[in-house]
Formats: sequence, C-alpha cells, structure tokens
Amino acid sequence: MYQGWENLVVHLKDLITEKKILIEQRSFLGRFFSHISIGFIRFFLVIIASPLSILNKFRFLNIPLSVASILKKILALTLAIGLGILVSYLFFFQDEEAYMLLLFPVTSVTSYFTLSSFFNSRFFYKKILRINHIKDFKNAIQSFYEKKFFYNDIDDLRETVNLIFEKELNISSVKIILLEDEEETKFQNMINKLKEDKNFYFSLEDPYLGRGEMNELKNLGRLCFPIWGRSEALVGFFVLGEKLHESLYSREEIEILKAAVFHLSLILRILSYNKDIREEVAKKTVQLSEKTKELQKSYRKLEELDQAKDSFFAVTSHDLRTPMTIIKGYSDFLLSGKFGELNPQQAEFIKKIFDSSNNLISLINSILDLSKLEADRMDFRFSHEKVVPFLEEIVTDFKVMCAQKKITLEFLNPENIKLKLKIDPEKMKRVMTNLLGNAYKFTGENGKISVKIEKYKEDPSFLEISVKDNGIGIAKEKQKTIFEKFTQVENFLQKTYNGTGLGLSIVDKIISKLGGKIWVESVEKEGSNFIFIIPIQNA
Amino acid sequence: MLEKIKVLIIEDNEDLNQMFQMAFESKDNFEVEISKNGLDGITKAAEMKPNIILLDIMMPQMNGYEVLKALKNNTSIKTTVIINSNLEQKDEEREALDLGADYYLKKSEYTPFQVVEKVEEIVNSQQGGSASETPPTPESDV
Repeated sequence: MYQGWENLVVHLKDLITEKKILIEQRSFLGRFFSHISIGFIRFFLVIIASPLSILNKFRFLNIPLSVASILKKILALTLAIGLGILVSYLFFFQDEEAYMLLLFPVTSVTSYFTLSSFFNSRFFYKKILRINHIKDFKNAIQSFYEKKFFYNDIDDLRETVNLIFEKELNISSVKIILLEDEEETKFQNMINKLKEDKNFYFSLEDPYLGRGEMNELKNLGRLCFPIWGRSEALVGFFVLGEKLHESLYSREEIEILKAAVFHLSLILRILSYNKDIREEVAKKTVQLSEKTKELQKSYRKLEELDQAKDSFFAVTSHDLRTPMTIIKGYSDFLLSGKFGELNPQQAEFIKKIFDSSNNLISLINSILDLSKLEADRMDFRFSHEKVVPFLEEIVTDFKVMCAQKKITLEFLNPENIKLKLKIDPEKMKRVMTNLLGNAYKFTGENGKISVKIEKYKEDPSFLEISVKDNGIGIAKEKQKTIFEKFTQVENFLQKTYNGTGLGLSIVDKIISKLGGKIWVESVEKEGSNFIFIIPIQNA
Repeated sequence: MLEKIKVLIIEDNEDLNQMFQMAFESKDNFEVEISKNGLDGITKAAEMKPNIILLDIMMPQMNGYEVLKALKNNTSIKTTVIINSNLEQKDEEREALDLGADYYLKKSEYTPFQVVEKVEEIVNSQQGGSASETPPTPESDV
C-alpha cells in the first residue's frame, strides 16, 4: 500500500479531530451567536434583495428587459450562495469547516436552479407578486382594439403596437415583420428557405419558436404568428419576445394573442387597400397634372394661333391694300393727263393697270371677307328694318344700270308683306347687290330681272326672297358647286365675265350666319332663280 | 376762294404721302403739310392749325387713334379729322368716329383725286352752313 496515501488519511483525521477540539473549546453561547449572526446576515441579504420589491421597481423604472433578466440571475445566484452557506452551517455545524468545503458548491448550484425556476414560475407571480396576469393581458389587448382601427400607415400601427405590447405588457422586442418591406429582404430570403422545407409550416396553434426551426427565426423571439393578408397570402409575421417575468406564454395568453393577430391582419389589409388607393390616386394625380399641362400648352398654342389669325387679317388687310392704293393712285395720275400726255397705247396699258388694281383690291376684300366668315370673325350688327322698303331701295339703285343694258328690273310683293326684320343691313345689302350684280352680269340685252318677296311656303316662320333672271342659266351639274369657293360657272381663265368667283360663297356664308339658306333653280339658256330664306324673328 | 384750305397729312408711307401731296397741289386752293409720324403730326397741327387733317391709323410708335385722342384733347386745335386708312379688320370706322373723327375713308377705294374731291365737298358743306350733315359713307362696290 502506498505509504503516502495512508499518511494523508491520518493527517485528515487529525485535522478533523483538531477542529472538533477547537469547536468544543468554544462556549455554547459563542457557538450559538456565531451561527445566529451568520444566519441573520444571510437572511438580511434575502430581505434586502427581495425579488418582489426589485421586480416591481423594474416594472416602474422601465429597466430594459435584458438588464432585468441579468439582475434576476445575479439575485438568484446571490441567494443560492447564501442558502448554500446557511444549509451547510445548520446541518453540519459539528464539522462545519470540512463539510462546508464539500457541500457548499453542491448546495449553491442546486439552490440556484431551484430559485431561478421559482422566480420564473407562475406560482411566484401569481401567489407571491399577486399579479392577475391574464386579466392585465386581456385589458391591454382590449385597449389595442379600442384605441383605433384606422391607421395612417404602418409606422403609425407599429407605434401603437409598441406602446401596448412593449410598454404595457412588458414583452421584449415586439415586431411586425412585413414581407413587402425592403428592409426585410433578408427575412424574406429566410422565409423562402423555410417554405422549401417541407417539415416547416407556420401554425397559429403553436406559435412557439425555437424548436428546431432555423436559428435566425429562433433569434427573433418566443412567439411568431403568421399574418394572412388578402386572398390568404402570407404578408408577414407578428413576433413577440419574452415576457419580463416569465419566458413561457400560457394557453390563455396565446388565445388572446391570436385574436390580437387577427385584428392586426384586418388593419394591415385596410392599410394595404389604402396604400393601393393612395398609389392609384397619386398615379392619377400625376397623369392629371400632365394632362392639364398638355392642355394648357395646347391652349396657349391655340391662343397664339388665334392672335396670329387676327394679326394675319390686320396685316393682309392693311399691307396688301396699301401697295394697291399706290398702284391705283399713280396709274390714275398718269391717266389724268396732268403729268404729260400719253399715246393711245400707253393710255390703254395704264388703264389696264388701273382696272387690274381695282379688281385685285376687290379680290383681296372678298378673300378677307370669306376668311373672316370662315373664322367666325365677321362682325354682325343687327337692327330692325322694314324689309320691303329696304329691298326696294337696293333695287332702285340698280335700275339705272339695268336701263343702260335695256334690262327690265321689277320688284314683286304679291303678299303685301309689311314685316320688320332683325337683320344686319350692311350684310343684307351685300347679299342683294351680289345677287342682283350676278343677274345683271349674266343677262343679255332686253332681258328681265325680278326680285320677289313672299312667305316661305314650307315653313311660314321663314321669309323667301328670290332674284330671278332670264340669262344664260347654269348647267345642272354646276348648280351644286356654285356656292363653293372659286367656282364661277364659266371658266375663270376664259374671262368672259369678270368676277372672283367668291361672291356667291360669301353670300352663302352670310345667309347661313343669319340663320337662313340659299339655293338656285336654273335651266341652261333659260335663266336662273336664286332663292334664299331667312327666319322671321319676333320683332 | 381767296383763303387756301390748309391740309395736314399724317401718314407714314412716303409713296402715299407724295401721291396725296401731288393730288392736293394739283389744285390751287390747297396748302399741304406732311407728317411722317403721329408725334410730329400733333406738333404740326398745333403750329399750322389746318382746316383738314388726313390721318392714317396704322403707324409705328403712335397710332392714329392716339393722335386722334391727343388732337381732340387739345382745345386750341379746331380741325376736321378725316381718317384715311386701309384697316378694315373690325370696327375701326366706328371706333374712330367714337373717338371724335369726322369722316372715315377707306383708302384703297379712292384715287387721290377722289380724295381731294371728297375734301372739297366736306369743306364746301361746312362753309355752306349745313354742318350737321351726316358724313358721306363710301359706297361699297361688290
């Protein structure tokens, strides 16, 4: 046998005996007080570090939960060490030093686990702290329902959820994770990986995490509720961390939380609809403002065009007429003979210049009038006129001219009309002189022109005025185009009859502006009858 | 007629000015002055106190309407204003008459001699005492 080992055992025995002797040498009172004092110190420690008061302080001071759990662990450790020492003393006081050395670690570790599980137990909270936790839970979540239902955006919702779950219920790290959030792409990748895993599925029944799911998910928290959106699509998760006092959630709490998650999913659905609507509205607003801009642009363009048209009329009327006036004036000077005699051929040429300039002036006037009529820029000034005397006066003006060509000109009023008409006298005069001028132009010597006024037979609210001649007439196929621009019946280039071919289209436009209509009845070589009707307004 | 009729032509076109001047000077009883712009026209009108002013409308810087207003505001100038213009865009004639013009002639429809005749007619009618006679409206030929 090994000599040294035996020696060691003997030495230990001696040592214990010596201690025993030492202890026995102490008085009973001394031993009693030393035990009592040590016990008191430990007990005092327990009282000071009362879990109740400290935990309550955590609650009100809003100490971060991670710090609280560390403090809780330190507390349990301190108590366990104290308890270990106490138990060692009380039960083995006869050989205290030696037994303490052996038993202290074992007792401390056992006490630590016992105490910490006790501090985390529902029994501790319910019975020792007297907290009716389920009721708190219910009330808090009730306030979440009642607070509001319509949120401006997801941040607004997160703020409220944070307030209710983190501040009021003391749950660490409450998160609403939305898959559509760009920040959460990492999380989304994770979810995609999980979806590929056939063994994993999100369950409302068992929202506990950390049972074999991926580590990243485990780190998120304790509970993970899936949130279902429109058409049963997964839109995100509602993740809850640990509670301050208890790491596990009870069945009742999970049931209450399920209802909260349903409420949350409804809010998120509304938010997503709102978002859709807002996006749509924003899109439409942008489109609308673009359209408005376009419209403003084209409106400005139109205004510019309008002004351009106005200035076109002004410039053409002025700038075309001025040189014509000069040509006309100087050729007239030469023809007058006051600046030297012209030989007959020169005189003839100058006369042609003079006549052509007159023709050109009237052509310019006609074109301008027609453009003005077409652009709706002709000024009409209406007045009430007795129609028969008005027409008679115009006819009388033509009589002298017709007499020279031995044309009979008559004015007929078979119904003895004495109406007053609301007309523009100047424009009416132009219509009549144009029609009479044409009749005169296309009627040969000894011809006959008659102007007739009567009620329009098909509609008595109209007055019918006609100018009939027995001149060359108009071929049937040409009667349709006669009121169009630049269509004189005879070829304009043949120059048989002077004229611009614009007169009748001006007449046509004036009459339609007056609310009437003009047409022609004609047989070739027998004559033409130009008939127009104008409405009889209530005078 | 012993006293000459003083005519002031306010017109920016030199050819027209020369033409009208020649037409008036072909008769013995006219004294003609020419102004190439409105401002000069007003000054000359105040100096020579013409019987007749032949006024164009479309002129650079100061148009005929402005000249007309200035002439009518100046009570020391008593003259007959005849607008002689080629403008026939809107209501030029009415506007000019509203502003106090006495007559309106469409420039392109008259030869210079005809204008001179018109002026003589107007002067005669004024001297004949029938001042309230309606202005002779030019016949429009179609």
